[in-house]
Amino acid sequence: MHVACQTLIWGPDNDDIDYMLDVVHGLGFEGVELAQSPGRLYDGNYSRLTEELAKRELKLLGLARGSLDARMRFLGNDRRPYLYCEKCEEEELEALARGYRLALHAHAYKKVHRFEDATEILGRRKDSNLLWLPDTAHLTIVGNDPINSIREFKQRLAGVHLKDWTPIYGRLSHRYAKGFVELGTGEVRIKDTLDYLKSDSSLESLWLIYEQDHTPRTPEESLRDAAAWFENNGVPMRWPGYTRLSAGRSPKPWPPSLERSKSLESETKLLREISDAAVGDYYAFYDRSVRLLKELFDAKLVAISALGEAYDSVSHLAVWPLKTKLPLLEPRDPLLSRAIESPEIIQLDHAFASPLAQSAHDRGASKALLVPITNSYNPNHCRLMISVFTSAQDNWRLEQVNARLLARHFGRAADVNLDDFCTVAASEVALAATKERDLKGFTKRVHELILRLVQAEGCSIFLASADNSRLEPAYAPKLRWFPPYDAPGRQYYERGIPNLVTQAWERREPRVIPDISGMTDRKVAKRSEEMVEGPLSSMFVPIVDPGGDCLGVVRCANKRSGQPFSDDDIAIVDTMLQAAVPHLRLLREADARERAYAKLRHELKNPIVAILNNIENLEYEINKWQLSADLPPMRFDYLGDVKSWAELMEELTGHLRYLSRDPAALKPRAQRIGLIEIVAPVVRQLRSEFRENGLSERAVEYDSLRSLPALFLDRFMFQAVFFNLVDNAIKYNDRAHKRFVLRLSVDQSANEFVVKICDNGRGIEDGLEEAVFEEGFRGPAARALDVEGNGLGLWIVKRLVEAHGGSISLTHNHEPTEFTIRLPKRLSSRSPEVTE
Amino acid sequence: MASQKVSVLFVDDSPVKMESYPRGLDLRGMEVHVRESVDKALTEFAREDFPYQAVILDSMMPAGQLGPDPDDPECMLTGKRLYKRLREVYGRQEPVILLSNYAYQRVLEELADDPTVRVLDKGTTRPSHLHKTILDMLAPHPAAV
Repeated sequence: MHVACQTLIWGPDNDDIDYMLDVVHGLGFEGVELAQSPGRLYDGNYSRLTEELAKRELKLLGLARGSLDARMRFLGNDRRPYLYCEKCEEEELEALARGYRLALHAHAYKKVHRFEDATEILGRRKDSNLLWLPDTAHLTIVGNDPINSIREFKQRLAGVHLKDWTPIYGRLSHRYAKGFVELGTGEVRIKDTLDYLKSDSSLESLWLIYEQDHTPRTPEESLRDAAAWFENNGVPMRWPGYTRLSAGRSPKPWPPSLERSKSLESETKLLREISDAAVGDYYAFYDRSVRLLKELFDAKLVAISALGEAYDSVSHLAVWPLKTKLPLLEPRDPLLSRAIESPEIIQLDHAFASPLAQSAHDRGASKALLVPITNSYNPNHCRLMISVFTSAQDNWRLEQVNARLLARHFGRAADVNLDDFCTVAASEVALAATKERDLKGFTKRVHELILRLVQAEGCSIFLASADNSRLEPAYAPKLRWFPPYDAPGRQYYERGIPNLVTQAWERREPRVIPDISGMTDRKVAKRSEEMVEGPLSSMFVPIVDPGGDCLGVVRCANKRSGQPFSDDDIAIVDTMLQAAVPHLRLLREADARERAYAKLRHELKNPIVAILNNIENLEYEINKWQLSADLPPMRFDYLGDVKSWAELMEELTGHLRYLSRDPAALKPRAQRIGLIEIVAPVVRQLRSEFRENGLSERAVEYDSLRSLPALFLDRFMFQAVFFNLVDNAIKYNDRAHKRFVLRLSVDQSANEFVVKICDNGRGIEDGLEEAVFEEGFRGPAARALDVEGNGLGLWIVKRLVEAHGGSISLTHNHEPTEFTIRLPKRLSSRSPEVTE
Repeated sequence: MASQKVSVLFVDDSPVKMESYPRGLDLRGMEVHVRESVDKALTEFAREDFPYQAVILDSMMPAGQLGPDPDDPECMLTGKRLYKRLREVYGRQEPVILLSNYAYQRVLEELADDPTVRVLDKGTTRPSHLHKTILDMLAPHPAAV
């Protein structure tokens, strides 16, 4: 096996080829795949390149950058190096016919995106010159298994890009390259892939290529580590030790294109002001930038436009004059397409079939400077286009500006701005998570934030069901269901039924549709609409957690600017969703638990109600019988006993609702009631517990409660409060040593009513005064005596008392054990929820 | 004057589980007609000769012909929707009792000012209480005397 290196790690604009080849050679790589366009390779001199390669004993594997035509012209008659290709259409077929070797490269966010795209082309075209160049990281990003993908077309491999990646930094066209990491440190199965390749004898002469799009380390450091990884994993490098760099020269300053030959004061000022505006509001940054560009160039029209990840959409982020309504552009607008490779000045004329050129021409412009801005993290992609249109007399300004310098500075500033805005957006989500404790409240807040931050008219949030079989609306106020989803009780998106929401979920891929009404598959489009007016630009962003699970999808409809959503919008929403994922997970589990409790309560309550009702009906009938037949009363109150047990069950199922985290479950439904009317039924309900423990309910003294006025209390909540306190007194009684006593007494001050609950039981250890009220706390006595319980009773008691504006504390640990409840005096005149 | 039995329409999708209510009302001298779905209740609502003096509705039932409600996907408020339909579409003003498992807060709040409807929690409502509530609601309102 042979190991080669790709030169993208030095950036596509770098033209210090000598230095790159020195490093590649010096670190023991045998071959090189060049990622700079032919114009940068010794000024397009292929003979010179072959000489330099030969000096260093390096094999040229392929050319990755530049138009197909330019690369073929560069190679001349040499058909050995392969040419990257993203598709296999007319141009590529012509190259194949001319004998050039093409390497189909599955590359996330490019035309050959998933292995299935490559399968389709490789299966259809059997040309021996059409080769397969898989990349382990890209395959992993889009959900393909690298080994299976390599195995299927192993006879047609041009090589294998061994690359590692972690999803921590995101999956978007902007950011995915941030996730490329040194070999062996990410989540791609590169070691398994290498082992598979080594095990197959038919692949012993295969080329393994190390490529890195973006790394925070220096290229040399990254390559040195890669070389070490190959050696450590049984692929010897050409010179063991991989330290023999060609000596005698240091690299040129990089990037050389930034060296200014001439300076323009106003240009420097522009760059400084753009940098200053970078940290701040996303929309303000672009508005300010077009204003500054207008001033620099004295332009008639300035536009900054975002280009989709496969150049399949164009969205104007800002236009000067502000509020100018520019026409929507087709994905392959001829003016922009022409400029995507490098900055250029274009003469406008009527024949230029671009609505943008036409708009500028109508404003009196005669020339345009188009500056493509690549993404710092993904230099393969032209992310933004600056279009400046001027009149004839201002041409000199266009000529004087160093467009490459502008592109580089503006690109950096735009990246900083987006990162900053995303950070703010994620912080807002985190803040919302601290305020909202239930799923519906949180998703509503996230929904509001998305609408505001990407300036969308509509938004729906869907979450996957527990069994992952469908997407259910978590917050979707403007949702319009279409067949087959509008059947009663069936308002969800089922896995496998094609629409853009489920596609984003199943593929875990974000997507922008510039105009959904223009989709040819009307059935799919219709199922994917949001109820908003206009051209229906739509955006679908999956909610993917760092482990790769897709929790759901966010769909947005129509930007308020009337422009399509851009990749930046996807990045903003994705960052927000990544911040939301941990909270969504927790809240979804809590929501499922609450639903389960509610269902359990419902299931238990109906039979209990039926028992209680039937007891009452039976009592009614027996009374009639006994009266009519003059029968003696029964020897024991059987029905009273059954009723008591049923009432106990009814009370306990009612307590389940207080386990809820939903604040609404703890909102008191107060009625004016005396405490005696609450405590008496509790003592009756616990009659069987008293008997079970050899105690008598007559040991409970609560007559003093009569001295309190009636209070506005939720009867059920306070029944639960006293139920738990009395039940604890029973469980922890000390009957073996003394007669059981439980005394409820009352007192009142100017501001509060005080109820003390004292028993002479085993007591509570010192130091646990606060802990006994914590959720799930079980004291040493509970564990030692094996007393039944789950540690939730006093936690519930505390929450219920506090829901009434009161407090409870353990005021004496032993002899007596004393709990004190303090209730505000205002409860004698109004409900707890009514404030001053 | 011979006293005529009070005729009650009782709508619950689990009539067997909840038959203790009609049974208890029957014991206490009322004539109870049970319907086990929204659709069957709507058929009764549409009768020209509406023969019921009171209507008891379960709060939580499958929505049937009422169709899905985006604000109530779990059909917690079907009883309330049915009650509204009785009043607004069929123009019936007979007393209505909504029986709920949770004494659903929203139902209580929205209907608190309507004297022709009561919301009762099944957990605390025994047949005798239900019987008494119907009689109270049927009794002439003091203001009307």
